[in-house]
Amino acid sequence: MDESTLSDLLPLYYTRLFPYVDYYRWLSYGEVNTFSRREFSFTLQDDIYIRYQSFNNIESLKNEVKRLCPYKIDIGAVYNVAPSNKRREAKFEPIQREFVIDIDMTDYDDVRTCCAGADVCNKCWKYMSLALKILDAALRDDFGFEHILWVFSGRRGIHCWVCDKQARFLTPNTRKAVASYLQLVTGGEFQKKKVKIVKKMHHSVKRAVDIIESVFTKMCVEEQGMLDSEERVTKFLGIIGEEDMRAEAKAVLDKHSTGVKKWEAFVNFFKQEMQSGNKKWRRTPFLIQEIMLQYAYPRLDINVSKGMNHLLKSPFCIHPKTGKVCIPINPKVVDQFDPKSVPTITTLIDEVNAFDAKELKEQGESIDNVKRIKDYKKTSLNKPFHAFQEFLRGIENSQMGERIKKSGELIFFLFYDELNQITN
Amino acid sequence: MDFTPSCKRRRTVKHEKNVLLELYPHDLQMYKVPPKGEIKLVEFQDLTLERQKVLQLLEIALAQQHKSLDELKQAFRNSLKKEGFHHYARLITAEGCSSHNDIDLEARRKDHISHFVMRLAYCLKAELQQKMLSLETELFKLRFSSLDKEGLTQFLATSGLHYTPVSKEFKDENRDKLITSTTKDGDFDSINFYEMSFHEVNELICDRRVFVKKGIAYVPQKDLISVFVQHFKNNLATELNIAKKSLMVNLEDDDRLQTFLKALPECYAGMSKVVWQSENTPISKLDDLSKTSYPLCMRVMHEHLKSTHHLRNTGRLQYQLFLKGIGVSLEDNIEFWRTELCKNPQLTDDKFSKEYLYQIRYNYGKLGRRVDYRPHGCNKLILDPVGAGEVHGCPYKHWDVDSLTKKLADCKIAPSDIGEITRLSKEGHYILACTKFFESSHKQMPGNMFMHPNAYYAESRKILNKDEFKGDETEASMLTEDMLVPISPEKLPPQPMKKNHNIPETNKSVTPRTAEKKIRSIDRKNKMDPLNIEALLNDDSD
Ligand SMILES: [Zn+2]
Repeated sequence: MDESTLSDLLPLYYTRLFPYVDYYRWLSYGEVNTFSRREFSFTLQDDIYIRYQSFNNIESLKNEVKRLCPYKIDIGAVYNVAPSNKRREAKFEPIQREFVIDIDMTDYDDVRTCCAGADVCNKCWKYMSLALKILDAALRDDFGFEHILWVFSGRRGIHCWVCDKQARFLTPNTRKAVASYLQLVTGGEFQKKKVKIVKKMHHSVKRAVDIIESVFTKMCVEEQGMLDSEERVTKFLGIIGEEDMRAEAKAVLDKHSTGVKKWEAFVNFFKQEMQSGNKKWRRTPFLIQEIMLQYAYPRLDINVSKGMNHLLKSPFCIHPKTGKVCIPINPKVVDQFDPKSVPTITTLIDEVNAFDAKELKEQGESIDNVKRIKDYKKTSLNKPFHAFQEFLRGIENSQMGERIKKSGELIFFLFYDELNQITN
Repeated sequence: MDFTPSCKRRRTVKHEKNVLLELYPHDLQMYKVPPKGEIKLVEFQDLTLERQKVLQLLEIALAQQHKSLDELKQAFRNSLKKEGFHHYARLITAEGCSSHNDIDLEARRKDHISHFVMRLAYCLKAELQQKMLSLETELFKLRFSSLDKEGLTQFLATSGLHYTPVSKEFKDENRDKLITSTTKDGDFDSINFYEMSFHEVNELICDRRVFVKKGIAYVPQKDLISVFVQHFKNNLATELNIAKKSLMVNLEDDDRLQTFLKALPECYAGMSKVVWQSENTPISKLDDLSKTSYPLCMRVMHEHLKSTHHLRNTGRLQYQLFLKGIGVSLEDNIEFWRTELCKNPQLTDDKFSKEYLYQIRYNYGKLGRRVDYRPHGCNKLILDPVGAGEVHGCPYKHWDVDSLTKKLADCKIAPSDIGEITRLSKEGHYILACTKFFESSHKQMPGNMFMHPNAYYAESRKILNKDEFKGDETEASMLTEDMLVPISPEKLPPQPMKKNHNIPETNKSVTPRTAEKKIRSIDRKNKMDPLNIEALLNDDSD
């Protein structure tokens, strides 16, 4: 998307479509102070970057966004004081922050073969769906988090915001621990085997393997052609530790011509060796699972999750290069999400105009209807916004529950006081 | 609660012992109650210096990266004995409450007082706090692991932490997951699992060593140590900050004590400390230096940057800070990265300014939080995760044997040494592997042990500069600042130093190398920014 179109359309988007009310509902978590101490940062045209913005209320946020029309909005932590006042305070430190995860397709460049760099297609997008499913399950089942917002990053990745109160108040050490827990693929350029399962398989790893296994052959072996060239076979063999085992595996692979056949043959060969009690191969009893994990387990930028004051791009931004809206992804139907059909700012504006024109034509001169209907409802944002509102209702219900619990205790104390008075 | 020598005179020995036993019923403590009463300044000082030394020995023992806990404990214990710290040696393997003789009690008392004095001494600066926190935690961990069954039970009873074991039904229901998600084997039916919030067991979560469901971690008896370690650490972290506040208020009127406390950490020569180079290092020399004086981790990043004109985020951070530490000025550091990164056709000068400049200036404390960041030490390099496509970190830890062998051969390390280095790194002795690399490429051992890339560099420069200037006192003293004489290991004289003594001065002054040096020192004048470097040094006080 070229820059001048973007800067023409952004004012319209921020005036008519950006969901300020829901945005505020989310980031305030029912408390004004939580919102007013939140850091926002804006990237303006020509990469002008302003940090530590904060707003007392929804109106002032709205006015500033409309005035500046930022190319990008980042959300930071909630601080002890409003970030815009930070210079006046001796102590300035983050108090709460969603637990966030950033997954970028470029971290898959050593395993995906269909595209490279910033490009993404339906084949490699499967890495993202898989990542979302695996991490979503771990966050819910293992850590008990419930309010998890998944967002398309606008081009080639996904972001995750874990918004449970417990998650927002995690200490840095616990954040680090959770991030490491979720990170399985480690090792840099010079470490060929990137997943090691020693002795036993942790229940979370087992769950991830189960999720991956059902799609592995189709996705990695067939579509990505994991074993389709000499070079890729060599890379694959690199995962196997010892020289002579590599040679044996190569011999097995060489007997077959297609990738899928090669993979099946290797899996069978490995199973046989394990059953026959071959000591060499039994040293790595989880080799097949390790390979699948290395090729398909989510790769997260752990530093983003570890810190409290790391900024992360806000949902509902427009990606300046693609023009796409960073819309929430419904984890329940993630397989239906297609990055190619995410609405762009241009299509949205067209949709609004088309709707209004049609309405005017049908209703004659009366523009009541045009005005009455919220603009986003006239566009393909309608559905993603609904998903977001559902997520918000979940948070608000739990906040309500908490308040009732609190006031319940209060009632009890009042009652107890009265009781005391009576008995005295 | 008196334990001062002056009180001793007034009390019977027996009574004294009872008081001590009441105070110190266990070999291990959480240090929740500070010592009360008086203590002679001399004893105070002795105890502190001793504990400081003990922690230093522990740091060395940890750096040797022993295969098992028992091996580590043994090595540490031996070094304590060798230094005459018998009380501490005893505490390392103490079982808890199996014996309460005079020596035991004295050891516990020493442990108690010296720990609190260390808090006072180390609380003033964040970095020292961090140091104490990590070493005291390691010490606690070692000692906790020595407790016998009775010792553990007693410790649990007195620690104030209460956990309930899960029911047999729960255990049966989740049998498989409990077994596969915890590391240690054993008779499942007789093991108790305790439930607690996952917040309390960061270490177990971090390493995926515990069954966790809906936010509750189920911790087997044997792993309770992690819970206590985390508790110990959190408590100490809080206490250090409290100590800092009270120190500022209470010690003002005691000059002697204040002077002693402030001087104390200066005696502490940790190996993992940054060694700042005070000289300015011109970036034109980095290619040579990367071959002669860089540790392998930094050399790899330098070469990767040079060949691909790219380095991922953590790598950039580590290498930029390393350069800062070896005396590359902020301006030069910017220049260096601009030149290299902009060789990538996709990166414009403009983009560099927007995306990369900030980080460099930030590292020098010119922007953002304005903290003067220090180069990372080996521990951080070893522990920080390395992702796909990244080249930072410790090669001895993060590389597989094949890649390491090939790289070492490229560095012209002798084949026999390559075998030794890969063996050490395979066994987890990363620092020793690095030391061997140093020895192999310098044809001698470093003067001091190191646990920091910048310390490696400093040791290397010491040797290479000495070789260069030996035998020419006047010139040497004039040029000591110019430590940037490139000598690649291949070019090292076969018998370093000794012969040079006899080389006549006239002969030396005409060697091309000397001429080169002079040119360089002129060249340097334009680029040098001594104030900047000095400011860095002044800011750094570890
Ligand atoms: Zn693709």
